[in-house]
Amino acid sequence: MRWTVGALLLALFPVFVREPYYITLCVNLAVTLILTLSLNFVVGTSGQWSFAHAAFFGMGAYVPGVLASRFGLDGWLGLPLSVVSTSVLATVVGLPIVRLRGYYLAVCTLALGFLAEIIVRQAVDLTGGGYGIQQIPPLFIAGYRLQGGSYYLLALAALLISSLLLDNIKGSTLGHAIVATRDNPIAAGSCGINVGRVKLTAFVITAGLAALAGWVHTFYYLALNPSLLASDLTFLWYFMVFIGGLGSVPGVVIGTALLSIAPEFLGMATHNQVLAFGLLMLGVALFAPRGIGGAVTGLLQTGRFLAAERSTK
Amino acid sequence: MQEMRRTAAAVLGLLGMLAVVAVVSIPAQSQQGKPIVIGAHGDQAKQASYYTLLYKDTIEVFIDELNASGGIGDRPIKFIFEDDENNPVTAASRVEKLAAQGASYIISIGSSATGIGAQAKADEMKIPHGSPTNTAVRLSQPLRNYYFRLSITDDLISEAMLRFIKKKFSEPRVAVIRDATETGFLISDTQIKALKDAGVNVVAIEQITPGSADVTAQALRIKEANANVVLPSGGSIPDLANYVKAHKAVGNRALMLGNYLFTTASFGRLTGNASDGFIFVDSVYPERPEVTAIESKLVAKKGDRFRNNLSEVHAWEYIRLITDAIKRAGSDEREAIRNAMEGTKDWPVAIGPPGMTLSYSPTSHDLFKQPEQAVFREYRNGQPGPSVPAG
Amino acid sequence: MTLQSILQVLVSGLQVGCIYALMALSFYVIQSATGILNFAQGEWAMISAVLGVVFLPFVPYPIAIAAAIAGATGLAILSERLFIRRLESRNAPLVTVILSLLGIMIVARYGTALLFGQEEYPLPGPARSEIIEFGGELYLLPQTLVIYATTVAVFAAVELHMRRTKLGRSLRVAAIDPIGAQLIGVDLNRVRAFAFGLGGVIAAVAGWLYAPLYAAGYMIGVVPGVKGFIVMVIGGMASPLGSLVGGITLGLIEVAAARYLSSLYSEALAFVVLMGVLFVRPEGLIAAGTRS
Repeated sequence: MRWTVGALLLALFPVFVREPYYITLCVNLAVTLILTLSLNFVVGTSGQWSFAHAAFFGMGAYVPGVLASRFGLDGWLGLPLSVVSTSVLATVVGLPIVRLRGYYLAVCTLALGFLAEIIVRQAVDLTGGGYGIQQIPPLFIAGYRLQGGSYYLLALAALLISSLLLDNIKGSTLGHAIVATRDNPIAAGSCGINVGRVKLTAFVITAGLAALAGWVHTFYYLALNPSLLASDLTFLWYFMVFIGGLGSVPGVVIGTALLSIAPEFLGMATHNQVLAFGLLMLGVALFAPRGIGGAVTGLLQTGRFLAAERSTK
Repeated sequence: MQEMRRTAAAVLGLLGMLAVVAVVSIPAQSQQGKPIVIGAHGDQAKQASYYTLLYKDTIEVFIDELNASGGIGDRPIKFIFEDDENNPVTAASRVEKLAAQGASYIISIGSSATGIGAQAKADEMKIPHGSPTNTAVRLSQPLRNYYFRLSITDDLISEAMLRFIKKKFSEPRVAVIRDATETGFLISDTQIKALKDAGVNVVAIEQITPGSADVTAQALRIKEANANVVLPSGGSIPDLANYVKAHKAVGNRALMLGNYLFTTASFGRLTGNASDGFIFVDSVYPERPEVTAIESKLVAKKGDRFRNNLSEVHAWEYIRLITDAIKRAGSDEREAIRNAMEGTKDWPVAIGPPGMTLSYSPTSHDLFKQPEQAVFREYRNGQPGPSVPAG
Repeated sequence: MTLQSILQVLVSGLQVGCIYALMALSFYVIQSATGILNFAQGEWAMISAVLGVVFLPFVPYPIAIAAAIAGATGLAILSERLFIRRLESRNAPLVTVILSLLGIMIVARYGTALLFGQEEYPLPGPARSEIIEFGGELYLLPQTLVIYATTVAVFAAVELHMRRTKLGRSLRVAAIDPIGAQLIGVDLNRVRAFAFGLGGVIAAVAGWLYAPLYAAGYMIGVVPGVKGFIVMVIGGMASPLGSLVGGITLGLIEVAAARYLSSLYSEALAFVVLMGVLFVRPEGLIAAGTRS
């Protein structure tokens, strides 16, 4: 209980910081966390290698952004529209895809990711093409404009909702069914689980969360551009999940925070940054295969074990 | 339940820790501090990196020289560069980061798209900013109070190219070919629109598949369309070089006309003799003595990559203008610098035709005003060469 | 759609397709023998081309080719030895292996950026560079013929090897049943090392076919790598023939679409067609049991 309250207090700090740069960092981290936690869910819990994550993020960002700036639709209404439309797309695309496994799924989602980026760049009249869209109307609550510290609270709320949702699912019947279809689809099927439907559900939930992250992103930056759909982003999120430790939520959080924040303060060129990530991944693979989260948990367990040993002497 | 609490706690805790670290680590600049801070953002590693690095080096050479002679009013200049990964949204957060480090002026030395992204933020934060080379029209038209531009704009380039084409061909038949990069789409879209608006016949629009080992399909389509002038555009030099080679290989005699982005060294290397006769539009006259002086200084300090390219002259002149404005402002306050910039009058500049001077005003923050001020240069022996008559 | 233009599309499409096919094959030999998808294959092709640019000013052409290919292959074998072997001996989960492969790819690519720089350089091909013209409408580069010949040679060599030699056969056996293979005395470590080496050589050769047509620089491995992988999957992972057929198919579709439909959408179209193939025939174009 003390941990939760303490964490909550610390997390509210940014609200009182003056420089916009730090708020931006925190909002970015919150958005990225929604993305990596959902990626961890679809890959770790559901065993599906989806490389279309950035495409769903991008769609979730573009739909409300385009509607707000071109058609004057209120940003708040854009939220359900964004999540629903992305989920529908994920369902349509996912129906044939969830039959596939392993590499085939990866290839298909990768192709989908590339296609989404091409489409957004080409549909210039709608999406602004390469320049994207600027000056999207911001969100208001009771006449008060959400930006800076107040926006950070919104991002935090979105993150909390996403993380609690994922936790709830994991503990539920659906969650157990999802894990069953990952570990042994044949056995799961023979237990009466509709493997296809369960996998599709996991896939769609992930897409919906990515869309939520996109919506939060759009109304903070109030600008859109096709780089949001780049497959490079999906790979970066995979790195964060892996380095943190696939399947371990605290691990994923640590991995995401590390790879988001460290580069900012080290000031390396992007290339050297990515090189460092690669070396880090090799290090993790060799010495800490369960990711940093796994390593930390391992250390804690060893610590507790040693402490227990000592106390019995 | 335990799992839920642990997750939520981990998530919140990390965000909180970040906030604490942030507040503690970068100290706010006190106005009492000595250095005057000039910030820049650009692409250090991706597609626009060739130019960003060129301009970054140029600015550093100038600032080193200035600091060696005492800086501005006995205060040294501190130059901070932030990588924007060629992403406009990241560029906006770079502006915030530079502002947090006390920047009094922010220079955009990356692509136009990132310049646009940065502008929105710098405008909001009321920091004077601008770019030596971004060509997107919307950056300065309609006028933005805090934005100052030195480079020629896309519409003037298009107009100059249009006049060139019309003078050279009584019946122009234009083909546009681009690569699949953002730059490619942006430039080709502007060109196509300008051509159609001027009633010029656009006979083909083609695109190069990224990384493709063969561009003959596109080259043949353009040849079959009987184009007499071809406009290649884009940001991926190997793809564009491939088109140029294919163009010559299939025996197409049509003229190729591009913009200054074709001055990168790798274009010349990859095309070899295939690029002979390629004409590109630029805003620097290689024959001007002021230009060769700047080029020699940079070649001496930083090496051969500054030869023949000449786009770095923009960066040199821009930092010279900014530091001059700071001197005239007499302080490093952002508003004062903005006003000093706007008040620049009859300032001799090495860009543009001989005798060109810069005058900003409350209604114009641009240097170039007419298409005739652009220059056409021809590739010779795999190198950007001398200027040629405009038609 | 004249005969001339169809011939040109065939020539160009085959050229593009052969490179995809070779890259797919380099993925295939590793995947079929070990079940591992090595993301770094594109990077070995790139490194072989970059090493070529580095060596050519100093040594005669044939030595430069040999040294560059040897260098890239050596790195491929080294990566297997340092990382994959260690992980497999610990029975590490698939996730960790994939993690390390991604890491190898990144280090190969951005390490090259750091050491070689970010610019692109031309790589001359082994043949002359003047274009050969047929009847004023068919254009062929000597390099194209080199590509055809090399592709056929490599595929034939791999097929023969896998059927005739002991090592090759043990590759196939290990693919079908790793545990059974061990029981009959196949050394899985040796098989895997050989598969990585073979995959590396094929990719390195593909690099020398591709770079003279494109460029040599740290990013050139991305497209061949991604497309090679996609082609292997679409073509069918049951035999090398799948990679050949898949590669040629993609190359022909890309060029034909660009030539006859619109070059603005040819890449997107090719993707859509490929995804369609997977829906209709999830095991790929050439399924198991199909013999050439």
